[in-house]
Amino acid sequence: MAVALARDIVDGERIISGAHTEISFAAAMLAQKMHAPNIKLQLGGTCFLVNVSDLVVRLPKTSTDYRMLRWAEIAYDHMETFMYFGAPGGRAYYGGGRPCTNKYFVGDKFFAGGIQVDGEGNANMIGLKGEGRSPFRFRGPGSVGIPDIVTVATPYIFVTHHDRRTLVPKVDYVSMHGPKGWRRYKYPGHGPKWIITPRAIFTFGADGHVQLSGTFAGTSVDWVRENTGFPFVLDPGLSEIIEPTGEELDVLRQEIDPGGLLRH
Amino acid sequence: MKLDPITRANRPERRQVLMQEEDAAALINNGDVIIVGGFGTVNHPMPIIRALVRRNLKQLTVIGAATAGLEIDLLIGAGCVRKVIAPYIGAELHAPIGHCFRRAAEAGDIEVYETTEYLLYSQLEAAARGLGFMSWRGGVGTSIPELNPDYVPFNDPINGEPYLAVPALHADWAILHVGQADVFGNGQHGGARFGDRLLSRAAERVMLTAERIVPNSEIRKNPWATSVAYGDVVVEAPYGAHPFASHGFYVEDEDAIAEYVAASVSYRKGDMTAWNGYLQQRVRGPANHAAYLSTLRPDGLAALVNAVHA
Repeated sequence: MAVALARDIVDGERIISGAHTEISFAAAMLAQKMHAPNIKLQLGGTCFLVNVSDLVVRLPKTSTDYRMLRWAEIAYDHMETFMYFGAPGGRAYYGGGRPCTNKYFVGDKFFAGGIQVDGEGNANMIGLKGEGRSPFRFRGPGSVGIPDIVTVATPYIFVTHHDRRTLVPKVDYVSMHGPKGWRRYKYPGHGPKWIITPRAIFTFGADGHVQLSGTFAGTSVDWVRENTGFPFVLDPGLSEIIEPTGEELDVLRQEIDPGGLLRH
Repeated sequence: MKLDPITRANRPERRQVLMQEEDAAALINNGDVIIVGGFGTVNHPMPIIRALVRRNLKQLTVIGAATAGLEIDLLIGAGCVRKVIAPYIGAELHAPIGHCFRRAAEAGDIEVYETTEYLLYSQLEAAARGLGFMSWRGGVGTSIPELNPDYVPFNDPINGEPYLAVPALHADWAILHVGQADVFGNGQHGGARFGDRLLSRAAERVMLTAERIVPNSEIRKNPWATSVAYGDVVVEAPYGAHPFASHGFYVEDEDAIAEYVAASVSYRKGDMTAWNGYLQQRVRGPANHAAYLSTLRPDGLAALVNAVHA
């Protein structure tokens, strides 16, 4: 998953990573060490980490690890995440000819989790609906900053289990909207780009419908159908995702995660 | 889906943004909206200001600091400005009202966007946060919303109390002066930052002049001191706030400010010969910042530095 996310990062982008950061942090660091030295990684709790390629030697277990400040070029108060510290756009400046986005986006990409995700790309961090006195039969961790951050950056939804409990027909509560809700409520940007699981990547068609676009090696379309709770169509471009190369794995394992955090 | 492997093979270098002030000023065009940082008589990016005058730019909309100073007065007197957005333009005891500002406003040569410190900050904050508007109570019921139809009175939907809705204010560039910067666009102030962090956030691009360029490792020693991490342009400019102060480095050059004020009084009184003489000697004549500094007495500059610790 980290390798797939890293491959989709473009040099110069601003990446925002919140709590439970290990996968997205690893993806951002991998991209930075490989092809994207100009990305800016913002970690929720503490600091901006910019071009830390030569410095990062281990994956942090939390997004607030004080030792990360040694890698940072700027540190700031958390509430300012939503205020003053989006990088100026000047995107043409960073190459690629894309227009300046500073007026509308704090960041370019954000990685959001979900205890439930449905086929509209809605993600639920709140809980599962209950029948009794409590509105919950299972209380989730809470939505943290996800509903806030996604209004200013393109989210990728990642889940660490691919099963029908996680990928459901309809979420019980909405922490973050999929592309249809995005349009309905006029959020900036386009809404979630992917739902990525350890077995597959879903994307969204122009009208917001969910489609299976990639499978990781060893996963069949039938397996995905059996283990996904929402219906989906097949992307005409559906293919198996190229396995991590030796170089990608070497950099990930030796320079970013020598402690093997991602393998636990 | 196409998801090609990544490799180090073609890894570009990290982008460096250091350039000369003339090249930096050339990035700003007629009609642009620029924000000028600093505050009062402190931390104004003067090498860029003077370069804009040398470029003879016209029709700029200039957003000043919450307390803008004579740097904007100079741009007005040099004919670069169509519209000015600032709640104050002057230099306290040195010049309670900017003389060029006053004359141009009274003659109708510039449009004055009536505002207050926090109405302006609210507008910049709205731009920084990607919001269409912010709300604020300051100025409710005053003449300010009468003079400025951008400010829309409304009653808040929770308590029903009167507020002003203020629209986001967008700018092409924020131009700021910092104490030190690295070649990647990280800037650290040497003292008070005033509104500079917000100003940098509200603009599409950020241009920094810096007293000194330091290695990236120096920036990383204290990331808490970094006020701007995204400079699109960095210009090395020792004494870059002169004749104004640069916090942490030197104090105001009161003689040089007095010389400017005297020239601007001439402008206000219509004595363009004296005003143009000043522009030629201090602004248009010296080809760049280094040439400007060479017209000043070195021992005078040293005294300004020493005065910081006096």
